[in-house]
Parts: sequence; structure tokens; C-alpha cells
Amino acid sequence: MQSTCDIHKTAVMAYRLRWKRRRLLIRAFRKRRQLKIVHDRTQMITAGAILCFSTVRNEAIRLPYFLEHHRKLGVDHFLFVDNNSTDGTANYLSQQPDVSLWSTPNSYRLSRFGVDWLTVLQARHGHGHWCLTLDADEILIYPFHDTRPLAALTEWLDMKGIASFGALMLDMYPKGRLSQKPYAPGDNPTVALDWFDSGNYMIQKKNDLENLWIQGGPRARLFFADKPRRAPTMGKVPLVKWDRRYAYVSSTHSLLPRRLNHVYDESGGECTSGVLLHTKFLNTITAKSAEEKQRREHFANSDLYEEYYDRLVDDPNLWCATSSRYTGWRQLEALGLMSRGTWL
Amino acid sequence: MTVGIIMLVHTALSRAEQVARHWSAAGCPLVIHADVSVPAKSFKAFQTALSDLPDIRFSKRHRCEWGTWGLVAASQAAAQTMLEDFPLVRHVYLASGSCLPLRPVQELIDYLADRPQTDFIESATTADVPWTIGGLDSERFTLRFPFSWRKNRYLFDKYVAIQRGLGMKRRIPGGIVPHMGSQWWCLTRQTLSAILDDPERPVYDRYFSKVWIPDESYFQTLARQYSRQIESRSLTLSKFDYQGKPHIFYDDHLQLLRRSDCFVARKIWPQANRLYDAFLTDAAHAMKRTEPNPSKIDRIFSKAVERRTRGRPGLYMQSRFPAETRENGLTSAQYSVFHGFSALLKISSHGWHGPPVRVSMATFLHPNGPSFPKVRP
Repeated sequence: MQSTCDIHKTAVMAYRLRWKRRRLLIRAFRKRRQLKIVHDRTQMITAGAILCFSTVRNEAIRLPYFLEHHRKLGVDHFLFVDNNSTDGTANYLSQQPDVSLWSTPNSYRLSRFGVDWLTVLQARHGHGHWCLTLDADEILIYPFHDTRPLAALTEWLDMKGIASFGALMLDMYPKGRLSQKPYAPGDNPTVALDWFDSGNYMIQKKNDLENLWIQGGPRARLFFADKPRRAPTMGKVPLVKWDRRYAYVSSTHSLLPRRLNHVYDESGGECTSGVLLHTKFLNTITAKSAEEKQRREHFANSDLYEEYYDRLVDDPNLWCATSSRYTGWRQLEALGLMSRGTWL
Repeated sequence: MTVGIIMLVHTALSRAEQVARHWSAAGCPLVIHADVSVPAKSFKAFQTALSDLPDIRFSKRHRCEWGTWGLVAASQAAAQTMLEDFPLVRHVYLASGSCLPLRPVQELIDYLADRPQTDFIESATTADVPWTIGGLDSERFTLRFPFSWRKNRYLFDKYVAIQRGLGMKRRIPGGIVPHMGSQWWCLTRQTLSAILDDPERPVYDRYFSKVWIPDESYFQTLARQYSRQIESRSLTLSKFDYQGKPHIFYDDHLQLLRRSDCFVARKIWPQANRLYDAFLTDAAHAMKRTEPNPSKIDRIFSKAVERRTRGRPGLYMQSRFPAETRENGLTSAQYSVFHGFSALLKISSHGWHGPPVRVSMATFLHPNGPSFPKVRP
């Protein structure tokens, strides 16, 4: 039985979060003019299409596989925001038949790491669609993804009345120094990055947004061993049946309204969930880290991350004796890193 | 003598057409019921596309919302047409647009020809089966449900609560004992026409039209009145999850469906090309003459329910975060590590004031790593 005090607290929190969500939407709306359309193919979006939103900067190497993989899953249209790429990313994207592209020269950090820009596009084009929000270094997989396209999953979620789908971000890394594994555009990144951490994850429930805060993996193990609470957040909610009143709060780790963060079961069972294979540690990481350190456009307190970037520039080996070698989704499911729930 | 197929369709009409052609090719007469919600234009196109089939009728269209009387009305209308227009039909098989025949249709025809008097309809009393969802089992038959569960959940729940509060109870028409079961049945002409031509039918129809989910109880109850021989099982393989939602079959279920030896399965994902290709075009698929055996694949479904509802003990992840006491088995507990002799001596001299503990002496600081003595619980 909830006490009156608890009910009062819940009501106050709900009210605060409602205003927070409105603030985020207004904030994004005011940034709408920062986006300049480069190639608009949004008239191709049909009712029921599955959309993918992403902010990119110098991702020409990753994009061919990113597009191939998610096209194969059944994403119908991609909406990209290009933030000052200099490696031909914009050119490459505007040539793709199923991509709409916007560009902006403005600050990534001041746009809440691209989220404000995507919120504008999601409100405009995502309403009523299943929307996948990803970074270019994230590859979504879910149980049976090799035999069932995304539409199978989203139709099933619709039938069950579920509007959001959770995933664990899994850092993939090579055995040996990062720079030593060759990678060519279009290659499957899990060939070069074939190892992952299977078990060192910490998990807690956030009081305000009620999302799960998961930390762990090789970065926590190597770069944040002495301050584990500073380690990167690995839980995400990348797939949402969008409504124009929704807004992501911090990256795709959590969103409002907070019921969308309830992608987990609290009564002991397992909900269906997926994994985002994180391909950050391709051989380009060392050069990119040096540059990111200069730009200081990542994370609210960039100082904290200086050491982290320095370590990456040093071309470390993330592999350890208890690393696991990636063989596919069935392995990840058996390890408890994702679950088919009742979708079988 | 042959088998007549009633198909209830509402979406994925091109798949429905494909399956209708498959039934028809084996010589089965068809009566198709299309939901009122199918747009007139799509329905016309669907009708035209099938116009070349010899024995096909389209029955009067009803609105088939889940859990409502419309589904029964649609089945009644289609069955009436079937019995009147196709006198050679001995068994009538009720299927949906998302049903897929798994075995050659001739095998089904032969199977039923060998059992000319048998009605295949899952039919059990509320006392027999525990599988109702949402706490409404016997109350399905004693309360009234005028509000839609899908569209007016609030009114639905409130009206149930009011009736319970007031102790309201409907009278069940004389002589019938409510039975329930899968809505996908296969009845003989005799049983079906006895149900449809019963002089008491208006009374039963009025009663069942206010029953909750009547398509799972109307024929199931009335078949008990007239059938000479009932096999209380459905010839259609359909599985439901713990919330009563149907499991959907995808391409990767091909082997599983083959193994079931069932005649028909539902529901099939409309885009499961591999399943449709395999089961509708594979003429060489050997005649097996085996009994349908859905229980062979039951284990997989019960495992899924268990995973969804109980999960894997000890697992915490992005989609499992059990609240305290809901873990369904703990694989670890809180522990303290005391490092150094002084800490241990302090405890042994002052005594332990914390919760009861199981002390395990271990060597941590050893070049080969920590070692724990075996402790018997």
C-alpha cells in the first residue's frame, strides 16, 4: 500500500517531468533553423515505414555497413544530420536512394550531442512511425534478427501494446592493439572487432526517469577502474513507436514520458530486448580520439574525459583473458545480454 | 463427400488469396467472410481476383472485433451459406486468413473421411481448464459485457465491478452447460446444421451475444448438445502466450511446424515467404498419415512462457530487473570482506553484531588467486 506521502511525491515527480519534457521539446524547436536540408527524400516515407535517425560526423568509413545492415533489417528510410564532416560523409549520404540529409555547422555539444536536432526531425517526420535512433557506430541486433526483419518485431510489439524496445550497448574490440586490425568500408565490423565483455556489468534503476543505468564493459574495466560510477552508460532505448510529444533526454539512454523507459520486467520475468554492437574501436579510433580531445565537443564535463582520450590515443589492447569471442545473437542471448522474452 | 473451408479474413488479403487457391486446388469449396473494416476497394479487388475459382462464395459481412459477437455471427452466416450451397460438404473447417495448411489438403480430406461422424472442437468446462486470461472464467457466462474491452477498457472494467458488487447474475438458458475452447473448429454437417436450425437458436444467440469472447464458447457449448462424437481438440495448431496473445510463426519456425504434424497452423506472419513457399508449393512433401501431434512442440512454448514470466535466476539485464523478493531464485547474497588479521581479531574479540552470517575463511592474497574452503550449507 502506498502512503499518502509516496503518492504526493509521485505526483510532484510526474509534474516536474512533464515540464522537463516540454522544455526539451521547446529547446529542440528553437534549434530547428540550425538544420539546413541537403537532400530531402522524405516524401518517400509511407505510412507504417520504419525510420532511422542519426547524427553523424566523419563516419564515411562506418556508413556503408551501417546502411547495409539496417536496410537488411528493413529500415525504410534514414534521416541523417551531418555535423561538419570533412571526409565525404555528406556526399556519400546524399547519393543514397533512401536517405534524407540535413546539415548543420553548429555545436554538437550545445545541441545535447545531436539530440536536439534529431528531436526536431522526429517530431516532424517520426510521428506514428517506429523510429530507430542510432549513432553511426551502433549496429542493432535482436533475437532472430537474421531471419525476421524489424517489421516482424514492431508488428509484434504493436500487438502486445508495447511502444519501446531496450538494448544493451556492447563494446566490441579486437584482440591486440586497436590500430592493428585492418578495416575497409563495407566490411562487417564484427570480423575486426570480434571480442566483448560478457559479464562485468553494473545495473541500477534511476529514481527519476525509471530507466536502468547500466555501466561496464572494457571501458569501465580499463579507463574507469578507479571511478566506476563515471564509466559510460550502456543501456539504451533505441527503438520507439514515436509520437511528436516524445523527447530523448540524454543520448538514447532515456526518454520522456518515462513509461517508455520501462523496457524491463520487475516481477522476475524477461522482456524481449536487443543489443547495440558498438563499433567505436575500429582502427581509426586513435586518430579520432586525438581530434575529439581537441574539439571538446563530447560530454558535459570534457575535462574528465581527457585522460580517457589520452589512453585511447596510446593505442591500448582492450582484450583480457576473460573476454568472449562473438559468434552471434544466440550466444548473446544465452549469456543473458539480451532476451527473446516471449517472442519465439 | 468433401471438406468445406470457411475463411475469416481481415488483413493481408493477398496471402488469404494464395491460401484460398491452395484449398480450392484440392477441391474444397470455400466460403469467405471479409471483415467490414476491409475497405470496399480492396474487397472488390480480392473478390475479382478469386472469381475464377469454381466453388467459392462470399458471405454477409460483419464487424469482427476481438472478443465480440461479430465473430460468431460471421461464422454462422458463412456456415449457413456453406451448408446450403455445397450439399457434398460433410465436414466444415473454420479457418482464418492467416492460417496455413501444413500438410497436403488431401491428407486432411482423407483423415476426415475416415472419421465421418467426428466433430473436432476443443470444448471443456471452466472447471476443466485453467487457461483463461484476466480472471474471467465462469463469470464470462454469468455477467454481461456490453462494452468493448479493446476500445472502452475503463467502462468494461467498471461494469464488471458493478455487477460483481451488486451480485448480478445472468441466467444460463436451460439445458446448456458452458464449454470453452479454441475458436478454430471442424464440425460435421449434422452437428453444424443442428446448431443453426435449432428452434431455440434465438434464445442461445441472445444469451451468447452478451457473453465475453463468445467465439470461444458458442459452438463449443452447443456442439455438446448435438454431436454424436466429439474429439475435444482443434485440428489447427495455434499457440497463445501468457497474456492470451497468439504466437506468430515466422520463417525460422519451418522445422518446428513440420514436426508438429498438424494439418493447419495459425497465425502465420504475412511476410513469412519461406513458410508460404514451403507449405503451399511443396507438392512432393510426402504423405505421412500420422496423427497430428502438437504436444511434440509444446515444450518450446512452455519454456518461452517460463522465460517471460520467471526469467533466468540471478540475471539482471536491460530487460530483467526483478524487484526485491521477485527474483525467482537468488544466486548470490550480500557479503562482506574483512581484510587483514586485525579486522578479524576485532570481530572475534567483540563478537559479531550484524545479521546472521555464514563465515567462510578464505585465502585471498595468494599468487594463484583466492581459494575458498568447501562449505556445507
